[in-house]
Amino acid sequence: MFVTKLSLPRRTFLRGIGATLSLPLLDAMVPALTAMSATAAAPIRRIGFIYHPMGTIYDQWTPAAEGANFTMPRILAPLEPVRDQMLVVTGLCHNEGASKGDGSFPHPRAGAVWLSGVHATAVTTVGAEVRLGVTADQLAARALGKETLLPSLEFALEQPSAFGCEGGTCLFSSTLSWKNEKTPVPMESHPRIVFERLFGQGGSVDERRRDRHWDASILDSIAEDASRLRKRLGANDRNRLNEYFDSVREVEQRIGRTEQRDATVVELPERPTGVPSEWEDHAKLMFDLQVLAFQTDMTRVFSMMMGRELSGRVFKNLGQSEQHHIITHHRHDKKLIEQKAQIDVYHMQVLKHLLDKMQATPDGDGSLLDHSMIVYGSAMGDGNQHAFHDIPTLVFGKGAGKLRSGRHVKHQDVPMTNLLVSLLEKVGVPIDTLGDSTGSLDLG
Amino acid sequence: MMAAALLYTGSDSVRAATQAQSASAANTASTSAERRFVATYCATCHNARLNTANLPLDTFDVSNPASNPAVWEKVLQKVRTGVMPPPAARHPDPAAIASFVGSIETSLDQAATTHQNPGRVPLIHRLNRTEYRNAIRDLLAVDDLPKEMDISLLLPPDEIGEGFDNMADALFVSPSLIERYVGAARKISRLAVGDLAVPRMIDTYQLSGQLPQDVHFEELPIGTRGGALIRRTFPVDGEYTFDVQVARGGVYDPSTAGEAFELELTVDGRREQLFKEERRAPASDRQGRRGGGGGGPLQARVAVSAGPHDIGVAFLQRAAAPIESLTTPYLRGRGVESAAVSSITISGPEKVIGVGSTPSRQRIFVCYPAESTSSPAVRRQSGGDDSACARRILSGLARRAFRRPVNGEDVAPLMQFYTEGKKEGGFEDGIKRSLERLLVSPEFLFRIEFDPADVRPGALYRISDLELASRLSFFLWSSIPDDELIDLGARGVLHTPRVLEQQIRRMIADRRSAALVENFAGQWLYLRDLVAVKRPDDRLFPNFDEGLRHAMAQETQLFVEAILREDRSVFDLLGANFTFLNDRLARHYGIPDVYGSQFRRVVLPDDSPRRGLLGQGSVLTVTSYANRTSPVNRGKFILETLLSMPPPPPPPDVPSLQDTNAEGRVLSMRARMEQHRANPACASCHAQMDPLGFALEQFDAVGEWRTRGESHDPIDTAAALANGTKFTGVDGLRHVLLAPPFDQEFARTVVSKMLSYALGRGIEATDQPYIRAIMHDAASRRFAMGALVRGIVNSVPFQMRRAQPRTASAAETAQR
Repeated sequence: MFVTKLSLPRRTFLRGIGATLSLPLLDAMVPALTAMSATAAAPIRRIGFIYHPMGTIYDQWTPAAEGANFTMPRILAPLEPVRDQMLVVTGLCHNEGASKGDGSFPHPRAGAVWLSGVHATAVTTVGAEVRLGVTADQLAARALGKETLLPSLEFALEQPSAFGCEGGTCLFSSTLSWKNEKTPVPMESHPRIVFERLFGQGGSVDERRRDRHWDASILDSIAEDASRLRKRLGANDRNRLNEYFDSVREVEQRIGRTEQRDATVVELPERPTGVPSEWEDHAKLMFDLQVLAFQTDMTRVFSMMMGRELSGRVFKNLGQSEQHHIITHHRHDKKLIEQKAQIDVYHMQVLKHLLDKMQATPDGDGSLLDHSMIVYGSAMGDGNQHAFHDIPTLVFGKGAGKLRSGRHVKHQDVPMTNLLVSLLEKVGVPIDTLGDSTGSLDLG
Repeated sequence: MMAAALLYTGSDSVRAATQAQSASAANTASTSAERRFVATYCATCHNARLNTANLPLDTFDVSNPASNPAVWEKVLQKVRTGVMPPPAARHPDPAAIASFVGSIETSLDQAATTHQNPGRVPLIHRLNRTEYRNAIRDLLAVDDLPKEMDISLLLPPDEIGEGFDNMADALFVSPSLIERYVGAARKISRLAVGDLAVPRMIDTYQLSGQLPQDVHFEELPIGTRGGALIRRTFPVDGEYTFDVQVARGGVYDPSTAGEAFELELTVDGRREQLFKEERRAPASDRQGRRGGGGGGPLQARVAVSAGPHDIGVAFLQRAAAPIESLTTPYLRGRGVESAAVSSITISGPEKVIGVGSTPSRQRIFVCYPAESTSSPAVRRQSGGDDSACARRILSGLARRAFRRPVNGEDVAPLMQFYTEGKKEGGFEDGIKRSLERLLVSPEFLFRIEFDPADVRPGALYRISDLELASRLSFFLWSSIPDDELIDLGARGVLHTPRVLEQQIRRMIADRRSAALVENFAGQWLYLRDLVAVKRPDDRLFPNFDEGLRHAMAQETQLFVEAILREDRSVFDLLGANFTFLNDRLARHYGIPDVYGSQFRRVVLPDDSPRRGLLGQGSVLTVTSYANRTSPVNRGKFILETLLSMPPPPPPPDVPSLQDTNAEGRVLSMRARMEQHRANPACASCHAQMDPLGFALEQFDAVGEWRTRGESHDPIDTAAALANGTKFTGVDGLRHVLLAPPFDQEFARTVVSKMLSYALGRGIEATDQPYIRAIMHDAASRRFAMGALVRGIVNSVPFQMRRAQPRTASAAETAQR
């Protein structure tokens, strides 16, 4: 059968969103918001992490001057209109991404190290247990997710693929997020599924409530299977089963939380049905969903991959015919450097869609962007050499007054995880260390 | 050459010979020889002082290799394949190698016989997405789900470990996955039982613009061109809307005035509607462009019964019409006016007529309460007899879903949901709700193996016959066992040699074994990426279209299936004298006299470059970049994927390759690659990879035959192995791979990857003796595929398990 995947009128969906946006912020629906609009002192804090793979062309990315009065370098230029919401942090490194004499697997390790600061060891060792470490977004989700339907959302724009994982496991290439050292969190690339996670399968409020009731009783009943199976199974190999029952319990609890909120749930935008065929449309649709999730306070944390390490995507609309990964190994060829710079500029243009939308969405006494922090970056500086130093890092938003943006802050060879520790602290999740962090970062 | 390769049994014959001797005699006599071998040929670099490659062989005891199988299996592989000692070092003669390898293998194998080690198979193994889909199909007879319910939307993709997506350790569970299971169970049970309140679904099937529609498509009515055939399950008897979007382009030909494109909509081959699209002068801005224009949607409302149907949409082929002439392919898509289907949307039900009779309802309702009918009014009054029938239905479903006989305790929670559901909407709603519950049960979603109560901790035992039934069916069918397997398992006779042999034959002959090819070969050879990922540059390869892509995938699927079903030698994968082609692919290969869109077996002459996997478009495309071939990728594919001899990863600072020489002339691929050899940091590995890839350079990045490369230089496919063996082209490469020592490594790779796939875990050094035993037994049968499958099924890792040792925490749990 010669039928391919469908891409569907994104416009229909956006029209739907428009309808939602025109609604006032629903105080009753989100009790916490009431408090927030009343007291601007304690707004909801949100944090997001967006990854772009395989580094950048650093000299076209880095502002020359420090402080507030820098000239926008070429790659950052599309962000000029939002520069007062942008913090440029240079001189960060991710040394745990590099080989430690255990084989050079820079690409899987880059995605793995970005939010964990942990060196991925068992990249290809057959039979070795896969281990990494908890990631910054999941730490934030543990704390900020207590009150929301979903602790966090994880998005990608590509499906996992086996070719080009540089060895045995593809895990490290297909997600940025790890719940703990042994449990990766899968990233979702289908807009429909993200929608359903947020708003269920649609239908009327009554239908949805009835479905939730059944869900809850099914989950409850499954939990009873637990004791039966546990008795029969030794303790050693039970991890997977525990994972299952813990997950069942977590979903059960979440359903409990939503049942209280459903009373006021709004008319929903139409469900998106397919994956848009153009990368840009796909990215923007995912951004729209994320803004909707923030706006309705369904979650306060997200992570997203604009592309996976070793991405084979070809940006044909930029007139290119080589794959992104191949281009990043430009070997100082001017033509390829130019192509990589174009890709990175393009990413900034697409990212701006999210920032504009967040800026335009009122939230309490400011905008969504004012009350959020969005980290945008890569774990490699120079992708050509797989260099894990001088990694490009931007932070957007004002973090509800905690972040002084509109500046360029210079450091030298400081672990990226120090920045993550500082940002987590600003979002109200103080931690001592993360991966290879050596403290928190002075952001001036 | 082929015959010689097949007869050769390499180190295994040595092993067999050695084994014939008394074990202890062999040991004492040879130990000193092995010590000398290691000291002379290995330990000059691999010693504690230099610690080359972290492998100080002088510190390991060669007289007792079983004390460290990981080290010695690695040594064996390197020595067997001639990778070590390196070219510049002193080399042992072949007899010394054979004796060394034979002796070490014998010690390791004897140890594995004395102390059987089945390895660590996790007790809990989640069904992956493919297995879940197949299980639903075999449990409920629901297949070809509506697009809204496609498995890729119901469940998230699985993580890939060791190259396969069925590895127990990589099949994680998360809260979001649980949500998805609950949602999927609801949708599936509604569809399977039939639901008069089914929501209206809108499925749009988009046809790729890369799909040429001037030819006939297989399975569509003869005398049509283009379009699509969609197999889809309809949820209820009802009326559905079909919208067909047609893309128009080309230049209007006044001589066709008054004629129309005729497009028919068929359900199960029966015409339901004939659409006419007038030919017309297109707007000037669309002139000459294909797919630029298009009329309004063509729409029809058709009554369709519940269950699976074939929906066909295709143009009537007008033999006389010059615009559709097959004789002028150069006019395709441009010039003359043309029309193509760009999408088909099925929406509905618009009007529900009834639940109808579907394969899934027939499967589920093995009984029906006498006083109950499908009318809700009557249903409400239905009484006692219901629950006996419900119990019968649910016991049967649970038995298949849990892959074992069930008891009252298993059915109780299902009955509870039946009762609740019945209260809400009657008998059928009760079944629907209990089915939902069944589909999220841990014993359905996970394959769980239990240590028997009477086995002491740490002891070795044979898995139960029911567990064997599941292992077999997930291995060969990627699905749950059928009633026959469960019966044999429950009676405890499945493991007996005669029964097992007969069942393996039956299972391979069954069409469900296509799953083994799709999932095992599809992942081992990266064929899935051909369909899902590969996008060759359409400016450089305008002939590569969707039709060709699917044809390539289909060729390899049918080819490997034939080798499996016909019990052919594993070496046929590389050298068979036949393949499967349709006209599109034959044209791509330059093979004449193949007409029509259906695939058929084609015998290949001796000198055909298309013999075996290395000549197939699928493999050649998947190992190329979007815009050019990659000898490195292809070489790496052969070493890593076909021979399990992966080259080490590249050093961290890869120096630049120059694309042009000093005068600015573009260098040929080969000349560029030669730079690898000039640099010692690159040379040691690229000397292994590149020559293998060079031999395939006459296939371009989409597998088309060529004589000149990107630089327009004639292609030189002469190549040499690191050990000096010279060969030319794909033919030469095939002969090298089918001769010692590579033939053995290829067979070993198939066995070991297949064993890994069958067990759902990675292969470890302690598995190697069992792999050698499988190879040894299969050698006498010319490595027939059936012999390999039987060898795997009968192996210690597949049939044995070690009971969990009792730990402190386990004791504590038991007390609780």
